Amino acid sequence: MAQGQAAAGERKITPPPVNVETQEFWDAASQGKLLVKKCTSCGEVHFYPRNICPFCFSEKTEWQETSGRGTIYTYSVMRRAPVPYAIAYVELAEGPRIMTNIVDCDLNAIKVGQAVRLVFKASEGGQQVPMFAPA
Amino acid sequence: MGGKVDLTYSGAVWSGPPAFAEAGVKPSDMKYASIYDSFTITVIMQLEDLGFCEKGQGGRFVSDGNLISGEGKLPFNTDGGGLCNNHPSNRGGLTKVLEAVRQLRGEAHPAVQVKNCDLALAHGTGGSLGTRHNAATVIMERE
Repeated sequence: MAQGQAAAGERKITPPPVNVETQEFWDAASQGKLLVKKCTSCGEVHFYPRNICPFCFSEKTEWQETSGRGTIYTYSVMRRAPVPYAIAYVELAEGPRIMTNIVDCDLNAIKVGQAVRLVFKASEGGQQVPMFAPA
Repeated sequence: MGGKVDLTYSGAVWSGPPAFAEAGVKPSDMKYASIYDSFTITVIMQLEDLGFCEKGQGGRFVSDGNLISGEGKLPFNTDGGGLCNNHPSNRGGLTKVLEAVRQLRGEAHPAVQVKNCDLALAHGTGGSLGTRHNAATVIMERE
């Protein structure tokens, strides 16, 4: 079997730490939604989600649901992991580049610029985690 | 960053130009360079950002042999660097200064000592490459 192809066995995904700033994000993820934050003061959309806008430091930030569409900005295949996987930055249609994984595909066929769509994978304990698969 | 991630440059774009301006020299004047090499991509990005080659041409600059002492334009990390010699915890930057000083004093290993090495650069990067942009550049001249 070529390196990078799906190996036998399921990959275990570490559950994310959840805090008061991100509780709503993870609750939404469990309902199949990927949220980002938008600042109503300066208009910038940011990720990861924070109460205080990282661009203008206003506290006037609100949640915004994303379309789930994006393109691969860059990626790296972790071939030495027990079950190989691809870590990546995906540029969302809404603007922010988010760190995620590319899943449900041949890891050797991933390309920068490739169109991807949002999927969710369960981490250990059940929390759903947003990831992306080829569109 | 807030999601405005750009992994195509390093902090050298800020630390390099002022160092060259202060010293009154340009990248092509350098006889030797010690550049922090946590990973191969670290070196390529910093070679470009410091102005030793065009942006996007770092890979070719290296594969053309430019870093080999006695052959290329920019003898580099002649102690083997962090990838081939040592990386003392978070003090990888200091080893870069050490080998640059050896070159300036003519005390490098004879196989890699640069002839008439009177101008050398040492550069380090810290934190998370591409997203934190800590960098320091020093230019040293032998009197």
